[in-house]
Amino acid sequence: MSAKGAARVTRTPLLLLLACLLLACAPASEPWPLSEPLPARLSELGLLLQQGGELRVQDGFVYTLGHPLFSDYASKHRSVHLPPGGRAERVSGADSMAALAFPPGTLITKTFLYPVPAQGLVGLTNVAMETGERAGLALAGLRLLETRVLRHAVSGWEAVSYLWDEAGREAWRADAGALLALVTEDGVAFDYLVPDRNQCAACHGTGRQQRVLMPIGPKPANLAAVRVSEQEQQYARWQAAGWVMDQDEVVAWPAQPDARAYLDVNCAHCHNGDGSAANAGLDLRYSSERPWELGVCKPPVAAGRGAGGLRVGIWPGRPEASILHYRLAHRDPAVMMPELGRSLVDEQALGLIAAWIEELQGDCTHAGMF
Amino acid sequence: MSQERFGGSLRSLMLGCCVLLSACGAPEEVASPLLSADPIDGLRQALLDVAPGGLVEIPEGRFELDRSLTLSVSGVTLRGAGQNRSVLAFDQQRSGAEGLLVTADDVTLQGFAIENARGDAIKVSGCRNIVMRDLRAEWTGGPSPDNGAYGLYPVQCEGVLIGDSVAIGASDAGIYVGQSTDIVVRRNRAAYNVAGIEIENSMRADVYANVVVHNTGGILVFDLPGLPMQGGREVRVFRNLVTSNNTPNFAPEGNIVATVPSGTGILVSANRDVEIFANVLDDHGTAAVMVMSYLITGRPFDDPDYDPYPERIHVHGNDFGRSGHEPDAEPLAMIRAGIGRDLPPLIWDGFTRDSDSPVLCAQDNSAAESINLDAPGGFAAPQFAADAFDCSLASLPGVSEAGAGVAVPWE
Repeated sequence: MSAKGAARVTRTPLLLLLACLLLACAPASEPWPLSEPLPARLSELGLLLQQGGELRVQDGFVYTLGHPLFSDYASKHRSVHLPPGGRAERVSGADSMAALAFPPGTLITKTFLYPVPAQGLVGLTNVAMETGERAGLALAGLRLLETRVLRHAVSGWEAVSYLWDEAGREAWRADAGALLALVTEDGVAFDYLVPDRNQCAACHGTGRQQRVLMPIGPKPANLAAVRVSEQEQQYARWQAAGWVMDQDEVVAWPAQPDARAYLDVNCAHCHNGDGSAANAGLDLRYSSERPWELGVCKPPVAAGRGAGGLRVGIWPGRPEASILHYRLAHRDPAVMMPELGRSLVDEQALGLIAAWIEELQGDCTHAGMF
Repeated sequence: MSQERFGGSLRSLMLGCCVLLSACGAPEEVASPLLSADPIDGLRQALLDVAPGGLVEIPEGRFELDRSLTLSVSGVTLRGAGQNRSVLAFDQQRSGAEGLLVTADDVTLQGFAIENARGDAIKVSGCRNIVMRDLRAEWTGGPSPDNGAYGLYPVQCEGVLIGDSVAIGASDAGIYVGQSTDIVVRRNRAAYNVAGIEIENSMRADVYANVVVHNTGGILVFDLPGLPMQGGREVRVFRNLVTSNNTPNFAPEGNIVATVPSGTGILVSANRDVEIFANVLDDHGTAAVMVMSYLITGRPFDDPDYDPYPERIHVHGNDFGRSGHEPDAEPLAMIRAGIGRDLPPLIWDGFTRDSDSPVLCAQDNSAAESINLDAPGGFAAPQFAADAFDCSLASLPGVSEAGAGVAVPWE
């Protein structure tokens, strides 16, 4: 058992150790070698710096998404760090709804955080993020939970999460993930999941076997749904800055909440016809057009309790008779969708999806023998 | 790094600090405060760190887990001390849709139990050559719709062996093999599940020497529409003991198994080339063997590749005990009331189409009578006959030489 190899380190010496390490090694000035495994401490990567009470990025830029993945109302600070001279590209032949291709040497970070309205509680209001190379995030009143790192190493993408200590000073590599017991400002207790390394692949892994990891968030259509100034949308700034090599037209997703964009971002990394949930036969990508593949009048396949006594994925006009809606409304791990990454209900999205189903046309009435 | 090295004495601490100071270029020596001596944390980490082809052992004992385990390293053997000795208990599970999720090739899972997973117990997704042996997937509170869906659950796999294992209490199927090829399911015990054993949208399966009791339906061979893998065929179900599968259906509605009548021994739906022979079937309130079209579910489908009709179902040499005495489906109950005696052991729904192949051949069973339900005609004119399916079909080759006890090639 590897437990024998796991050291139990007593607390006081550990703090001393930490202090001596921080003195000795911080701040990192050299980029972390691509040939080395990802380090034990996030600071060693030299991507995120804490300066004057602000979180800043080094050799990278901060971005946001018009339609983010829901993660228990956590706010997210996202950054891309391209290698010197490197640029992202649109995947050959792909539309603006596929994630960009980033060159080897790229690192992408996503830091999950909450406002702290009172000691021991987390607030669910979204923290606005500046974007760009000089963006700063004021850390006062915030709790940093984890920073997920995607690195395009020589052999392909790898993913791991770093768990922040309670003081928010250092984040430690947490391959095995963690469950964090949090309480909202309204007193609702929930379990926040820091994914283990394999669970990173549950979303970032492509194909049925989830073998090859890829970034999934930075899709041109989603980046372009954000305005960074009165005049400019975010993806245009990427193009102007040379961060992406892309002369093609970008069809931006709506700037407002949108049911199909929500399904794409929150569901389609598994439900895309070739993803880890291909056995269910759904395709929830923004580009999906066949009603059946969206779940309209489609019986469940292996939903188990997730079917909730309902007969079809989507019953047009009847969200209360639609498994899609039912699973988004639940918190039970055996019922809810997505399977990972949330334990609270995204109430706003639930209303959005309900309204969308109300508008759909069709009728799934049918009868069977048994 | 050892416990002794950083064991708390100032001297060793200083030493450690010096080592680390000089080791800033190689900081993998740094201890994360997340390291723990908890055996489950150790197991979780071992499943991430194990090299391809390596062994990870689960100690003897009962361990409580609050979230899923995952394994994605190929060639690994995950081995406990036995299905009743190494128990992973998920009663307090708060995260994850399964107890253990495997996404790797050539994995062997052996000698442990998963109890009371919130969702599926063991899911193996998109693999080649999975061996599951001496495992137990159980919901210990008995049949309940609140139990997880699947016990042992390989899906989209090439090469599956499930043997000498136990599945109890699944609210869908205890042993469920979906969209897979080259499958052996043998010497298992499936009890108090909705479906004991289910082979779905799969090709080339041998299901034999299993004990399948007290489920809602014993053994199901299904082909469903709308799935990436179509054309379930070449399934042999033989020498199983299938008795008293009369547990009321407790599947959540909406799932296909929620339509299975209680009291069903073996149910074939929309498959081609299924050979059912030398089984012992007894005490089934609805039927010993049912052969159905998908059309009888009344469910819509939108899949041009899907064939809803069963074809070449070969039922021979089975020992039919009592059945049809308490059918759990309204039309069947009415037919039984009409004739005033038990329904025949072999039931066909009557959906048919023009084809050169027979739907069903039945020979040398202990009882010859069958019933055509006339479901297409609204059950208006059910037909009873002793020779309706008196035809012969060639035997299927099978996945393994099971009779001689020869192992599957990659075992």
